[in-house]
Amino acid sequence: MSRLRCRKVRLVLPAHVFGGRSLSRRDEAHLGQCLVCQADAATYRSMQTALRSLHDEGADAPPWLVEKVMATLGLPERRQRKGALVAAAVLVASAAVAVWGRRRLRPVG
Amino acid sequence: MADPQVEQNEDRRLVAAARSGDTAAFEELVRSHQHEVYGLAIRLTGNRELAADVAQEALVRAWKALPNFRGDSAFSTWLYRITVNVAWTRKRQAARRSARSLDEIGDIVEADSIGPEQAGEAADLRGRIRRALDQLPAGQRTLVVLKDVEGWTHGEIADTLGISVSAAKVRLHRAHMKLRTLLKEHR
Repeated sequence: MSRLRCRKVRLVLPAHVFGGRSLSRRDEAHLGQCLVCQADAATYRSMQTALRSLHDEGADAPPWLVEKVMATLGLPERRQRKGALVAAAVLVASAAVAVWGRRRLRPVG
Repeated sequence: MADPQVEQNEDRRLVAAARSGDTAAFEELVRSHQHEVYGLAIRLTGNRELAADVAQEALVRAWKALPNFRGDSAFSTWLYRITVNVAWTRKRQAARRSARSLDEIGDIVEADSIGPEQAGEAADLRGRIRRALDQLPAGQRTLVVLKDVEGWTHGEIADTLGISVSAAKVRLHRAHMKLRTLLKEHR
């Protein structure tokens, strides 16, 4: 097995595996026979598979991210606006109940 | 899974509203892209804490740069480009400043993201590739992540990083060879 050919094939292997670059006939013939170069090609293929699989590992953003982004920009967050609206509604409802209660308790006549 | 075309149309509508000052529309954009932005940042930096900072800064920058967004590309593509630029800058700054070694950072990511149920050959290989990625220089790591993990084209990478397509190819080739050597060391 030619060491020179080995060196040449190993130089083009990354582009062959990752970039789909085709090998010359001589390089292909060498790869078919050389176990060392075959092992190298297998390493690159494993690398490719492992790298692709990293993409599928989902990562959830921290729960505070949206709030922090909006706060940094000084923009109101919808959830806060919603919260303020709910608080205001509760306040109005409590006041209405209190007024209604007082009226009911007022002695008639 | 949502239809990408529908998602893009929705993004377009929200971007137009946000550009005219609708902060709720911007918040909606942040909510729908935060996980992808954070995921990309984690893969680029290899560190959850740094990735959170990167994601936050990228989203803040996006709001500030929104008036300049022409809509030539999808909003998500534009946002990911901002993320890449922020990550690259932060990673270099962190490498200069931080007392932590890259090995330590790799261990943290490993401990964070691999559970006992994932033990096995594939998980082992992923662990080794992560450690090897952590040892690549920031520029090479960025190229490998964008091309081999995210599936960007050489053209998109070159455009985002401000380099020529042939430079991207040559650097990526070197990065692959270096990564292979590192991977062998981690056996």
